[in-house]
Amino acid sequence: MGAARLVAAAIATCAALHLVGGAGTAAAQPAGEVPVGELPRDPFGPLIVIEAIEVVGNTWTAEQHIRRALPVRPGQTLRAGDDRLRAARFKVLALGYFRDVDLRMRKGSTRGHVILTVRVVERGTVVLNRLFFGNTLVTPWWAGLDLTERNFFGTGVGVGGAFVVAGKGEAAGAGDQHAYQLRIEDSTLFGSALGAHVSGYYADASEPYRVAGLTDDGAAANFAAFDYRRAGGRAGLTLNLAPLSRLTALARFERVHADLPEAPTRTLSDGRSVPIDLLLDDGDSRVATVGMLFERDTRPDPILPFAGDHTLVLAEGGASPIGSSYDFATLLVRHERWWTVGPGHVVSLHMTGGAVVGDAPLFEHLHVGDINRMVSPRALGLVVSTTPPFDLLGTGSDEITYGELAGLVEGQYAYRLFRSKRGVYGGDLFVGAGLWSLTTTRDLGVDTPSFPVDLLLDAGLRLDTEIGIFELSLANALGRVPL
Amino acid sequence: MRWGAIACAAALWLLGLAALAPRPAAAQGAGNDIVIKRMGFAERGRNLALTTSFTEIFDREAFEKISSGFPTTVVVRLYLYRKARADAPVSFVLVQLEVVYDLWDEVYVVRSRGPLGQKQVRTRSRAEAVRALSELDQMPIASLDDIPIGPHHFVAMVVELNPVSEELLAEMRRWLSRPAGETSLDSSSSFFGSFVSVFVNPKLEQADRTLRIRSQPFYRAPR
Repeated sequence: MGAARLVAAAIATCAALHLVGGAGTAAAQPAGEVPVGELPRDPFGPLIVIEAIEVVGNTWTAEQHIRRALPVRPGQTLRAGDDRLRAARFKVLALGYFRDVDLRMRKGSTRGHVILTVRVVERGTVVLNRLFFGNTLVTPWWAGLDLTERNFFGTGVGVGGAFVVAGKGEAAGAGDQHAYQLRIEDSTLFGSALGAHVSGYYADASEPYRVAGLTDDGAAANFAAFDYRRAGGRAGLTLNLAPLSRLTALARFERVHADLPEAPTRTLSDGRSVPIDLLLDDGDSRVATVGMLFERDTRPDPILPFAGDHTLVLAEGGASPIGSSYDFATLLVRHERWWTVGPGHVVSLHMTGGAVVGDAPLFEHLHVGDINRMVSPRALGLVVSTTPPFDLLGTGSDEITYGELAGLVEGQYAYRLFRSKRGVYGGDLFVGAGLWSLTTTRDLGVDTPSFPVDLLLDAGLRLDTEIGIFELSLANALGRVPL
Repeated sequence: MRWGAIACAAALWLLGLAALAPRPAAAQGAGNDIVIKRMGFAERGRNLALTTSFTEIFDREAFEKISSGFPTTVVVRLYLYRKARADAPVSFVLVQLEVVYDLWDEVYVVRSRGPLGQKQVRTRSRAEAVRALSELDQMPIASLDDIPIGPHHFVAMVVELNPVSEELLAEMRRWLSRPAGETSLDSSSSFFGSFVSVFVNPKLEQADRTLRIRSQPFYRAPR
């Protein structure tokens, strides 16, 4: 029996237990259980021939996008109870452009022939992906947002943009920071299994680096800053391997200009001064990379997940033969899995890992905020905080800001608070705990722990609503306030 | 100083969470209510047979959609429990009922599959087709060997109208995943690293409608 079937069986069992209202532990799988996805589906009903397909209600979306999404075509002969007809409504809904889709049939011109009518109700397709805001010891404020129009002028092409602006930092030599990104994406080129995207990026950064003070002291006085600019773009070609898996080939080119200070040093607590490697070439340099990204997402509900898994694997490398000033490679992996263990009780495992080898530019190194969400993450690539992570286990995890090896293993438990059909669709309370580590293979000139492992703790509320998704989490709040 | 500030922030955060969290009791309902329904039980041969109906699974819209020409499916999951041992079912039975309207012959073709095997009927009446989709008549649900004389039992039933497989649900919601080209492990770009994401978010259910029904307790009497 496959794992998916086991999970589905568990869900069905949990549903039954919920009916019972008892507080029993997980029950044995009921004999004869069959998940919905594996019900026998041999088609039945009369043979029909699709004579024509009509699309109505699409004032904005191009008709061809709807036709391409349908699993049936004019001229096809099939049984009226065929699975493709059952799935047709959902395939159109999967485009993400419609609030509702209704399909009807009527008699065609000759016996056995039918005309399909697809009636769609369009919806707004602008998505506010992210809000950037906060205030830390080193940055008085930062703000920005990330928006996408998923169906640009009804073409099915997604156009998105993001910006972040940060006020002048308190560190010596710090300036304003700003970053901008523009994205264009077509997830199915001409209705094929291929998708493509291009994006442009510009950042004017003022990167803080520690010049003094203890590792747990993130005060601005312990930091200086240097400026660098990045401008470039990325392009990708995506192959939809299966409905839930995709593979993307990536290429990137960026120009970098850094104004590095002469011989930057850090004064240690014992009075010694050690040189600092700022991980960028002074003046102009280039970053050119090629890479592959694999993604698989089987979660039936990615907002309030209760089953399925999500996997991301990204391998990227830059080298002088393709025009890069930096020879390096990165490997980033994330795998998450969810299980329903009882009615309204979900546990999940989240594993993240990353490795950087070679002479990678500063922004390609793993930042502590990438792996520990109790620390302010980089906002569109800009570093807005110098607050070190909490060294909860006393392992010296607050010493390293940029590393080359990182990992996180986290377990979460979510309790289904409620589900509803209107307004606020559902809410889950969650708690999570995990172990994370960020280590460096570089010589920082100070004693750094070889493999510091520390604790990640989080708890919060996730809401799925008619106007989007919201999360209030302790870790997220900690990353936005000056602690 | 830093830990004091953290404690204050955590306390404020918990207060905010408590204030924002919707009241579970108020938000429950809609599809989650368990209905207690009187069902008929009888001993037929070596089996326990069940007779019940669940016509309420069809609202007006669902009733009319039966004539759309597209298939309509009702999946019924029946669990028999011993009342004193409600942590594991004594038996489980799956029944699948489907209908498709033949536009040219103007007839409803109803197919049922379950413990009684596969059966197909044709009717010209939509009401009759709905009845065939929402009634179980003398449906064997357990062997009498598994039901001792004396103890109370009950049946729990989950009825779904046009259920959707998890794979199809995942496909429908794939557009919610991160935009193409997001290649960082940065938690702020992960789905839940985001503090907020705003968009028109229509609800996609696992089934058009779901009923959760529980029978009255019953017991086998000695003959």
